[in-house]
Amino acid sequence: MKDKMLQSMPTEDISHINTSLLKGAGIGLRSDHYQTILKTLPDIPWFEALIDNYMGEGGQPHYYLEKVREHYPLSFHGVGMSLGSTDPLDKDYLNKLKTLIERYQPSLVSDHLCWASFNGIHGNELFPMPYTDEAIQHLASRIDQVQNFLGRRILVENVSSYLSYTDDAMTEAAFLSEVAEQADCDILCDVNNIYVSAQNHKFDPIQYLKTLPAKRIKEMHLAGFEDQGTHLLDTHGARVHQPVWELYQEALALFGAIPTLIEWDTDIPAFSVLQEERDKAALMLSKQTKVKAQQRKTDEAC
Amino acid sequence: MKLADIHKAFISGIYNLEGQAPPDTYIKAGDNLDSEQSLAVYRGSVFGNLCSALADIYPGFVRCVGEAFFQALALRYVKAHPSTSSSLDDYGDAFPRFVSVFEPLATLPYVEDLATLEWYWHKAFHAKDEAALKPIELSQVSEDKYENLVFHMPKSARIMKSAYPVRDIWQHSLEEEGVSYDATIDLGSGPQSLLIWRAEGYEVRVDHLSDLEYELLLAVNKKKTLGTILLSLQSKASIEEINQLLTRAVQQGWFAAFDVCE
Repeated sequence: MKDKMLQSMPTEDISHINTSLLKGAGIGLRSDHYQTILKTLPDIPWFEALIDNYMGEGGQPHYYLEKVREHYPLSFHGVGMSLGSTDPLDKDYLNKLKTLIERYQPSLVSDHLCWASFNGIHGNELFPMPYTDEAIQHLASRIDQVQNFLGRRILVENVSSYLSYTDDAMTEAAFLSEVAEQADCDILCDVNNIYVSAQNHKFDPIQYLKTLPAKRIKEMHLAGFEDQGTHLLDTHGARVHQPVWELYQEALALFGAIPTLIEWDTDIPAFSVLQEERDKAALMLSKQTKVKAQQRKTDEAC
Repeated sequence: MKLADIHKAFISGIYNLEGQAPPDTYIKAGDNLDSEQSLAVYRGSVFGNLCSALADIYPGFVRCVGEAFFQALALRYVKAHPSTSSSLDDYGDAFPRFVSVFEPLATLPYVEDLATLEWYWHKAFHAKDEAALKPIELSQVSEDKYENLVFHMPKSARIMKSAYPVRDIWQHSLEEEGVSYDATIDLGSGPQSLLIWRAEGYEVRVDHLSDLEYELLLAVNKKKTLGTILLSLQSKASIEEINQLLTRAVQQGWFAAFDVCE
């Protein structure tokens, strides 16, 4: 039975799926939840796939991603582009990504404001960039190359960080804004990461949000962290913490009802827990939309 | 410092490679973490991610040696084998060789084969989806070309031969926690030849091969022509047995394609 289902995959018509910008609150797609999602088809507007989990040519990951794609729009989120690395761009990775984009037609494609390798040695981790002019030029040039190669805009996400460099010459928010401006790319604003880094480096997270160019924010992320005593660690292994919800409210007021994702990557709980978190974000998004509509009416009346 | 110099110092500091610079020459001390401690947060994350990747790829091995032992073993491997790919799916290919010379495992002579089986399983899991060769495709080849046929196994397929009942060990390690494997499996029960692959569909199969089946697939893997293969098998089996073997190979889906070698 499964074999027959698999054979039917490549011809599945997904043209009815809206691939324009996503709306509302989505959930990060994880293999633990494939069965639940396909069995219950929950009322969730979109899922985000971690593209690095689908870099293999076939097999079970693609079987399930195809099935999910038949019912839901997708966004693609990656950790492997290593945009800030001084190593050459990974052509093999980008070629695979391009093939995946053609196959699954995601609405958004994102990766991180970070680097991960030097001289072919990889950390497979999101290392922060030094905030320097050289790094801005370097990142902007590589993002531009990636966008040209993929033939579409990408979003770049701020990462949580646990160190700062002696060469840092500006704030992370100013750095990210300038990179996005020079590369003409969009921004994935991870509210949890801003909070974690703000606590670790003692900066004002609201000022961070105010520095970002609102027009480029096309997606937001929410997740849970862990307090290690000496620092907050971005584990993606807990519910969204209250101060992060409060910061998210600030972000909504500044950027509007931007599509928002609940991420959970370690100690993955039952799908219902993610749905609860998603529903909370969805409610806040909905309220923000109503506030905006009310403001428009008031402005028109004046 | 130039961007490349910072990256070089950082990654060298993570893996303890040549090119390290004192962390305080490029990392600011924070309120709670000094430069080295800040770098150590990332080192812990890198090592933790890679150890987890190994545990995901080698679940039977973990059960076989125990989680605490595996964690210590994986950490040694990670320190000796920095990642060289952006994909964690590529990480861990040298693990079978690594465990084969790891002195504390010398009393478990099958560990290299167990790890090899799981690495092949991992590769098959992510391999390209391929349809099996259909008999009708072969019927379109004229009989005088048969001896020039070169078969291709699916990209997912790997064959291996172990001096130990490695498939049994692997299956037991996944199914029965806390079992003393040497006590339940006769290590002297003879060698096992295995085909690890995916047929159409996504389930990875680990099939036991007879000696004749192994000889056939070994020769196919080496891109030998059917004529050469038949000659080598004739000393080991009758024509009828060889015909049955080839029919079975096609029916099982062990071949995905063929070429006619001119």
